[in-house]
Amino acid sequence: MPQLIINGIIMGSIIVLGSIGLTLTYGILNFANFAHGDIMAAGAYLCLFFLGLNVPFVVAVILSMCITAGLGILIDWCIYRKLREKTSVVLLIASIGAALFLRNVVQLIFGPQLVYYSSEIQMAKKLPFGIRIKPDEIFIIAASFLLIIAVHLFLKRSRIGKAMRALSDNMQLAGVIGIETEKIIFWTWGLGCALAAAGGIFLGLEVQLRPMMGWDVLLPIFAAVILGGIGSPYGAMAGGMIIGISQEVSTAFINPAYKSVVSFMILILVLLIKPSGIFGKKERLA
Amino acid sequence: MESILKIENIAAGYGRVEIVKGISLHVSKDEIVSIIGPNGTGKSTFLKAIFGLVKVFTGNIFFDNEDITGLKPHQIVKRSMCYVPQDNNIFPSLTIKENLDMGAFVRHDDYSKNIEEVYGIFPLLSGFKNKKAGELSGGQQKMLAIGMSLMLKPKLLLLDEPSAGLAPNMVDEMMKKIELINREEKAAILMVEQNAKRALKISNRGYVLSMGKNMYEGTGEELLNNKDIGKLYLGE
Ligand SMILES: Nc1ncnc2c1ncn2[C@@H]1O[C@H](COP(=O)(O)OP(=O)(O)OP(=O)(O)O)[C@@H](O)[C@H]1O
Ligand SMILES: [Mg+2]
Repeated sequence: MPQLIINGIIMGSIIVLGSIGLTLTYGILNFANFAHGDIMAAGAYLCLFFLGLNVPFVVAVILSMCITAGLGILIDWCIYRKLREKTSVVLLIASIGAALFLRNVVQLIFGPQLVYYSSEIQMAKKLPFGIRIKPDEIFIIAASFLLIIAVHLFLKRSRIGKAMRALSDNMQLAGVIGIETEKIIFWTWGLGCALAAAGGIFLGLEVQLRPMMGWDVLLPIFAAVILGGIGSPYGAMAGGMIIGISQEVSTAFINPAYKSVVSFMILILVLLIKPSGIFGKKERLA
Repeated sequence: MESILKIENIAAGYGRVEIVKGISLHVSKDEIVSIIGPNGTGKSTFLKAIFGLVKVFTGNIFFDNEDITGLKPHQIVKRSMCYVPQDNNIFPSLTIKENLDMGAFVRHDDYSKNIEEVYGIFPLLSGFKNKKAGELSGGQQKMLAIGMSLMLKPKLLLLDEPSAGLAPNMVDEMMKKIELINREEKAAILMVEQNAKRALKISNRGYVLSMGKNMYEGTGEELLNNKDIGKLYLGE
């Protein structure tokens, strides 16, 4: 069991990194960005590209995060921005289009096969309680923890960070008090997609890279966002950990092939019992 | 006294629907001016039109001797006019302090003194600086909303029904605060009010609107003593 909880924390960290950006853009722009998973995949493959150039891993991660941030901003600028006046269904469909586009570009460049960042076999370290953990996994947990702390400080302390939370609460009021909302939206895409890239890379490190990897992780990410309350970054952090841990722990009782059913069930339960989520104030669905 | 706001015969509305159909009004630098009138007559739409939230079809709006017709809210805020909407006027998941920070968003100087001033006007708020605004009572939220707008040292405050939904004793309290803000913060005030009598009592002047147009104009006292208005709008 302790092993499953550790595995859950690893998956939870990845889900949290993916869900912070999704919940912020969902809260602010009021639409479910189905391309968010494929943004994660794009980040993961960018990292693969940089590793191919013999760039050190940490540098490759940072470069990929920056470029993915730019990619997110670009997608918003070219596609979503023009559709803001339309209903959220139009945006939702546009995001599915963006998702398909990204996935096909990735597949075109890198091919459909499974890839690993490294072909080395890592020895798992033995810890008390029979826990075995690979150095990569320690890196994933530590790096995610640092990123989450950084996001927390940014959202709580910085002027732009506070404005992001304000926009997610009440976009109209933000405009009324003089916040240039488009600027804040721009930063929000950047932040959200940079974190998504980190999540995608860590997913690639833990499992492997596939063009479909982002799409497959979208369900637990949406479950985390809705469980935490749409628009609440702190809710996404809690929700992501809960989903990650329950998925892994469930494998003690059910066939691991069905573990994604767990996020689906949590998602349905939240929608039935408390649609606004743990920290949510709004009840919204795409 | 020189006027801070001068509106000449504006028409405004949503899409192509005209709701405000020719309203003229002025506010002097030291005045409290109230707008009263029946429900659905376009009072809120009129305030939104001044603040650039609703399209102005014809007419002109002058603020501090400058034509601001058609400017966007973030441009108007920078000229020191603030607007407090009737509801949804705070950020519920931010703390009181963070809400006030957001009120000062367009400022780049040190505004800590200003925050203390706001706590001075609304001592209730200083008790829970780190509480989430969504957990405050309705009355406290209204105080916070006005407090946010004071962070920019406005020359003119537009208030949409500041006393709506408040308990009767809180209504008096709110009117006292508005007088205080007018006197101490030197902010001119243009407010829309359902509690017409109480609003007119603290107002220098008032306007009665009906169907998107001016009906009457006078000092607070004149309007309070006018029999027709009493019958129609003051519930006598
Ligand atoms: N966003 C909107 N789009 C279209 N029509 C609107 C909108 N908001 C208000 N209206 C219409 O404009 C008219 C005037 O509304 P407004 O809110 O300005 O009146 P009001 O005088 O403030 O009323 P109240 O006393 O109820 O606050 C109403 O008929 C209303 O239906
Ligand atoms: Mg109104």
